[in-house]
Amino acid sequence: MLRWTLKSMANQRLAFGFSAMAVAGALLLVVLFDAVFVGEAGRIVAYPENMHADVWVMQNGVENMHMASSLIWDSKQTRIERIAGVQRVTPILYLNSIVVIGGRRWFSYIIGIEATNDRAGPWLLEKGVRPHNAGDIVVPAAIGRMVKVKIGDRARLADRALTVVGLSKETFSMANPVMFVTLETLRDAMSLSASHSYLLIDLKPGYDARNIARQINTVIDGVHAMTAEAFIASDRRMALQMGVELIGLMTTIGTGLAILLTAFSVQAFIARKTPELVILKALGTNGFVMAGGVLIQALVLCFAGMLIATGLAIVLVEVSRQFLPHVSLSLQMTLVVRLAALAALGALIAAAFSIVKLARIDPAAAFRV
Amino acid sequence: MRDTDTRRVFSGSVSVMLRLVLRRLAYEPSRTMLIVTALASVIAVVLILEGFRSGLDAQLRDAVYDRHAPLFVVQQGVENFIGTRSAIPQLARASIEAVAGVASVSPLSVVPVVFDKDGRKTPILLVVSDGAGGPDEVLRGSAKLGGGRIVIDRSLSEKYRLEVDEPIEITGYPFRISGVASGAAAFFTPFAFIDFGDLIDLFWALDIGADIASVPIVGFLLVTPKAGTDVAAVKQAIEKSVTGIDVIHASTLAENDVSLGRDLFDPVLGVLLGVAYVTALVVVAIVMFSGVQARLRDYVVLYAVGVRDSSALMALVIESVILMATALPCALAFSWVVAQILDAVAPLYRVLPLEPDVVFRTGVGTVICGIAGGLMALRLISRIDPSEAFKQ
Repeated sequence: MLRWTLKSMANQRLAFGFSAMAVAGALLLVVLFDAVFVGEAGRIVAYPENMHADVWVMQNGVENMHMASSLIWDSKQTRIERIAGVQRVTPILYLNSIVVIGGRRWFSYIIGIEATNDRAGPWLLEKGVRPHNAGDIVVPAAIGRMVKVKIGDRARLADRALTVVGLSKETFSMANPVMFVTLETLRDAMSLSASHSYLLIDLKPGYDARNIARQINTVIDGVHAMTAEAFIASDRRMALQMGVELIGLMTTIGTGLAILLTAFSVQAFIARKTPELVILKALGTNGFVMAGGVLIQALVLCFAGMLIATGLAIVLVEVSRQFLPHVSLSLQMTLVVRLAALAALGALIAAAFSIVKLARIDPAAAFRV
Repeated sequence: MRDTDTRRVFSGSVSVMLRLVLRRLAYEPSRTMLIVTALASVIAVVLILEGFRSGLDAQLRDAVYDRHAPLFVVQQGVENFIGTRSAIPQLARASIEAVAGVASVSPLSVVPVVFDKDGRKTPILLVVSDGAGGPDEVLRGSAKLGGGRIVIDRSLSEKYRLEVDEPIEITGYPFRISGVASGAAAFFTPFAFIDFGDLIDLFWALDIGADIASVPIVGFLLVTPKAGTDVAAVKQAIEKSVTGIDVIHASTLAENDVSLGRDLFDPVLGVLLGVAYVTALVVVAIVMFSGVQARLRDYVVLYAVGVRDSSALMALVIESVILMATALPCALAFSWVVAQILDAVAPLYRVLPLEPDVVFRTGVGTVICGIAGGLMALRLISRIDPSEAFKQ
């Protein structure tokens, strides 16, 4: 039966290929949806990850950077600097707003950094320099390529005219590209006097970040200190949580579609092979064996679909990296495992449909022709 | 004479094929149902994705229109309502109120915060108002703000099982839920409504109050012209008399937000839609392919009696279009059900699969897929050797 099933499938390569492609299409929708959210979550935490601070200090009640706002008095900086173990405190101002570059509006993370302090600025420049003067802005090089913007071109934050002085790498995300201006430029744009958004704390060797964060939370009122590890994890978790419901829905839809398409393909196969199946049944082939054949076919089809979907996803990730830098896709091994489980589940359900049809075949039909 | 014969043979063969197709569909109802279900499902996926994009646009438009003001005063250079920070000079309100033709001016602010409860975090937009521009449709409770009252969107209420009169903490500051609003979300973010008194209390509680003096708390001003006044004239008059601001029509602001949303989400949705359409095409091709294989004998006989490729092609295309036309209403029903489920489970997202433009785009797309799928199946028929009919 196994040989017959595999030979029959091999004889109908075109039909099998089409069926596997259709199943792959359904599964690919699940993969891509997941890959988009994981990819974006990875890019959203690019800034805090690349700052390599030991502790992050922010407004009380705030635990995130993504989609958050934070304001703390600059006087807190001086008090934190006095804590034993603190080597350096770097303030940044942060705003989630729209920057107009190359005639397009970009919803961005705007980081205001001290003009004379290299600590919290762009970590990898493709061209140009970091912002030193009022009105300087460093934008992601990916944006530069997309809208053909180069050093010296103009940008705008609300009514503030800015000049592109640098193009940074690893700072682009579809949801939140990171842009850098001086602290004073952003303060002016936000009409603030003496506030910061976050303080990046570097510790002296031998000091434990958790202890210092705890100490800051106890000693300094009105602020919230977190270890960098906890802060980044909190941002990544939130970014992923934002997509959980959508990913769940798309997984259900994609899997349901894959099951239907597999069931349809297996049924079509049975319909084509009915004369042979009737003879097999008339010759006394065990029903379980025939059901096994159907199950094998469904499994082969689903796993072929899974392999094609994974392969296409890998290709799409590479293509998006090269040609669509604004689409961040990231494939995880866990996703491939989940896909395999979905494919197996799909095969089982699809086979169940077809086995019912198989059971209804009348062996006597073999003698009617 | 010859042309007439050809036409007769052609129309005759098409009608024969059609009869065969229809009889076969009726003969195997379970198979037909499976085919229609498979096609409907794949079309439904396209409708859901298209409807999702349409829903994103609608949410962004509603975020502006639900403030019920024809004119928005924004910081100079600001062109959006969502995703931007706008700061209006402190004295602008009084100056605008003094402009002829202005009936009312209401302040509004939008503050992004992260709501955290039971280990689950949700970014929300605090829409701060003095009443005007507050929640548009309150499902439960009241729209009353102030004194620690907050109105939250239904998506937040259902996600965290929060109800009217329950306490809620926003960045550590205690509020009490006075109402649950409907459709108050955009940009994957639910809104919560408070008044300016509570915003200042919140800032004081967070120990940033001392900087308030230097922070312009008002982000937007909602301007309603007097009845019968020309809105464009009022807009011009305000822009002439007040500096440091821009005045934008609600419709322009809404379309700017929609354009921002499309810039952000279209690349991803475009890829997903592309995959969905290719899947639809492949499914049509398999359906037609398996249908042709099952009727290969019929085709052999038809070819043997002189039916041409063009007739077979016509029949294939008609069959696939009939199947697609049958599947489309089912797809609309499927996608509507999914949209309802999504609305019940995750009301943060709006899926509008039955919007006319969505149905039109998907309809055109599926007809193209149907025709292309039929053409792909033709390859199988074109290999038929008519002499096969005489071998058995």
